[in-house]
Amino acid sequence: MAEQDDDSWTERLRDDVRGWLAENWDPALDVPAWWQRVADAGWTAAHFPADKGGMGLPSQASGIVREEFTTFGALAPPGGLGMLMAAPTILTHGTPEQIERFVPPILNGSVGWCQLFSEPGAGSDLAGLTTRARREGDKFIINGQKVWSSGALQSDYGMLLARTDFDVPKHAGISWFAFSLNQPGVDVRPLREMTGQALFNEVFFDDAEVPVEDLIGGEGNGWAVTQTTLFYERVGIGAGGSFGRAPNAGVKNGIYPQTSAGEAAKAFATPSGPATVALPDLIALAHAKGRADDPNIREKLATLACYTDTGRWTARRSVVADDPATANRLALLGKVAQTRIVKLAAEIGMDLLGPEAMLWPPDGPDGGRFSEYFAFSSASSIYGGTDQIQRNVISERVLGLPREAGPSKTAPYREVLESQRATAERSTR
Amino acid sequence: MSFVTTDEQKALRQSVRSFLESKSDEAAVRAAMVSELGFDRALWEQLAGQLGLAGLAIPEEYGGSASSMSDLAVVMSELGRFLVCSPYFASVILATNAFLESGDKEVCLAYLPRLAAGELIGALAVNEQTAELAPDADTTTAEQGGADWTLSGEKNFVLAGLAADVLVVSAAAPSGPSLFVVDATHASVERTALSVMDMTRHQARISFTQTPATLLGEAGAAAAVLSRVAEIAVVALASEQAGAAERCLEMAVDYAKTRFQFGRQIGSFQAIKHLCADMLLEVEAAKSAALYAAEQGDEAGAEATRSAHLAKAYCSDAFMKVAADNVQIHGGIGFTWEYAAQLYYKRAKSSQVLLGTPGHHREKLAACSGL
Repeated sequence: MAEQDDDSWTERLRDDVRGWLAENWDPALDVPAWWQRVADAGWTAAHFPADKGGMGLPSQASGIVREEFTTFGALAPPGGLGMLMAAPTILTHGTPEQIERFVPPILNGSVGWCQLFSEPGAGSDLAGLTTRARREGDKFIINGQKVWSSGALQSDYGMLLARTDFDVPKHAGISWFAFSLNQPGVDVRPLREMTGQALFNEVFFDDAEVPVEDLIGGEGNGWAVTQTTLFYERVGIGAGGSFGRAPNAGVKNGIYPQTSAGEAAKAFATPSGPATVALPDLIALAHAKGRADDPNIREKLATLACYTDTGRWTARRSVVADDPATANRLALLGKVAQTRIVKLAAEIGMDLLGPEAMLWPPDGPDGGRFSEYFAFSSASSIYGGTDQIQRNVISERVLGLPREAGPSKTAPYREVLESQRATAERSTR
Repeated sequence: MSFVTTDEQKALRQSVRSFLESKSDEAAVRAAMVSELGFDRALWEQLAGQLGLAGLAIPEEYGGSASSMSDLAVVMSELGRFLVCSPYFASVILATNAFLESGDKEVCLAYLPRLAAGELIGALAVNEQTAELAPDADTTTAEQGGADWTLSGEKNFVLAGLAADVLVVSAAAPSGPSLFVVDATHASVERTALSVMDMTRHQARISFTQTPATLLGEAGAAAAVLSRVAEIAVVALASEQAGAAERCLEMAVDYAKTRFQFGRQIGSFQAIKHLCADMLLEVEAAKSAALYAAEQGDEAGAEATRSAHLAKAYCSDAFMKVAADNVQIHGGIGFTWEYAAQLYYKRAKSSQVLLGTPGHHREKLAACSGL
C-alpha cells in the first residue's frame, strides 16, 4: 500500500516533468532565459516550499527532476553550492527580505555561490577561524584568509564565516554572511590539486566590505547557522546527493551566458574533469581487460556493489523516515559511506589497469580517467569535513558519546588563541 | 524500493520485542542453550500460539497468515536481537518453505496446518559436507519399492535436528536429487547432538537406515526447490543478523558511556568513538540490505536473487565485525563466559557460515552483476 503511494507519487512527478518539457524545452533560448523559465515553473528546487519558489515536494524530488531533464536532453536546472547549501541555509535562518533577495537568483542560476569556511588555521576545527569582521556603521569590514574554496573563482557570492567578537567563547563569536566576491578588497588565487586541476582557491580579504543587511541569522549566531549549511553539505555528498551532478550556476561559469541552452545541455552531457568511476564502468573495464574471471577482482567488485547499494538504500531510508531522529541518524552516515565507495572504486580501477596504472592523462585507457580518479579519491575522506570529524559528529550526535576533553569552551576565544601561541613557541624552542 | 515501515509492522515489532524482553532475557537464553533440545518449549508454544508467528510464511489455505517477507524480517530481526534459542528459523523458514516451494499440495495439507500452529516442529536435513543447500553432492540415497520410498545415509549440521518432529530430507534418487518427508521419531532415525560453538543454535547429525519416507513434490526437483528456499532463508537470516548486530552496537555504546579509565568515560576517547561510528555504519548498511532484500523477496526473480546474495554477504560480515568490536570495546570482561558479548560473537560466526560464507555469496553476486 505504502509502496504504491510512494511509486505513484514519483511516477506522477516524472510524468509532470516530461509533459512540461515537451511544451517548454527550447534549445534556442539562451541559458539565462531557459533557467528563468525553469525557475518560474518551480523545477529548480521542487523540494522547497511553494511560497519560496518550489513545489513543496519531498527532498528526493530535486534529483528526480534533474534525472528527467537530462534523460529528455534538456539543460538541467542549475545546481552548485548555492542550491546545495546557501539556499537551504538562508531559507532556514534568513529574514523574509533576505530570502526574497538571495534565493530567486540561486533558483534562476544567475548567481553562483562558493563556501568561505576553512582557513589555514581552521580546518577540522572550523570554529577556530580568525577571519575578522569589524562593524563600521551599516557595514562589516572583513580581513583575513580562506582556503579550499571550491569554485570561488567562478562564484559571485560566498557563504562567509567570520569572527565578529574575539572576547566571547569560541563558538559564540562567529557570524554567517552572504558575501559578495565582486569587490576590490577580495583576491582569489587558484590552488592546484593532486589531480592537476585547480578547483580550489585561496581567498584573501583586505578591508573587504559586507553590508549589515547581508548578515544571516544574527550577529554571533553563525555557528548555529553553520550547522544547517554543513548538514546539507553532508547529505549532498552522501550517496543521496543530486546537485553535484547539476550544472553550476552564475555568470562567471563557462556555460552560462555565451551559449544557447541546447549547446549547454550537450556540453553538460559530456562532462570534463575527473568523471566518477562507478561499478558499471569497472565491470566494463574488467571485461575489456580480460579480468572478469579473476576471483580477486570479482570479490572486490561484489564488495563495491554492496557498498554502493547499501549507501543508496540508507540514503533512501533517511528520506522516507517518518521521524527526524532516524532521518538525521541515517543522513549523517552518508559521507563516510560515500568515502568507502569512492576509494574502493578507485582501487579496483588501478588493479585492473596493470602497468597502465602508472600512466596519466592523456595516456592510459579512457584518456587516463582511472588514474585521475585514483588521485581524486584521496580527497573523498577530506572534503566536506574529514572522515575523522564525521565520526566524531556521528558518535556524539547519534550515539550520544561524550566530547573529548579539550581547552575550555567558556573562555574568551582571544585567551585560547594566546595560550595556543605560547604552546607553539615553547614546542619549537 | 520503498523502505516504508507500515503501522502494522511497527506494532508487530513492538509486540514481539516486549514479549521477548520478558520471556527471552539473557538468563532465559543461557538456560535454553544448555538444555538438551536447545530451546524452551513453553516459549515456542507462546510464539506460535499466542503471537501466531509460526504461520507467518504460510498461505491461508494451509492455516497460515500469508504475511510478507518484510513482516517476517521484522520477527527475525527481533529474534536476532534477543538471540532467542528457538527452532523458529529451522521450522518456520527452512522446513516450511521447502514444503511450500515443492508445490506438493497433498503433502502440504498434511503438514503445514500443524507447522503453522506450532504443533509440529520441522527441520531441513540437506547438508552433508557443505554449508550451502547443495543437494547435488548428496551421498544419502533414496530407494523406491512400489509406491514406498526409503532413505539411507547421513546428514550433518541440521538446525533443530533434535527438536524436530518432522524432517525434510534431500537424497539422491534415480531421477536426481529429490526431497522427502520423514518422521523424525521413527526408530530407524538416529539423531546425535553436535557439540557446537554457537550454543544458541543447536545442530544435529542425523543418520537414516532404510527409513520410510514420503516423496515431497517431483522426484529430481530438489535442486530447483532448494535454490529458492535458500534465497528466502538467507534473507530471513540477514534480518536476524542485522537485528543482532544492532544490539551489539547498543551494548558497546552503553558500556563506553559507563566505563571510566584515566578519569574519563572511555567513550570520550576518539579511538572508541570512531570504532562506534563505524559500527553504526555497518549496522545501518546491514539493515538497509536486509530490508531491501525482504521487499524484493516475495516474488522469485533476478532482483530477488541478487539482493538475497548481497544481503547475506553484507549482513554476515557486518554482524561479525560489530560483534568482534563489541568484545574489543568491553575489554577483558567482553572475553568472559559470563558476559553476553561472547554469545553474539559466536552467533555471528555461526550465521556467517550458515547457508554459505560471505565469499560464496559475493561470488554469486558478481555472477548476478554482469561478471
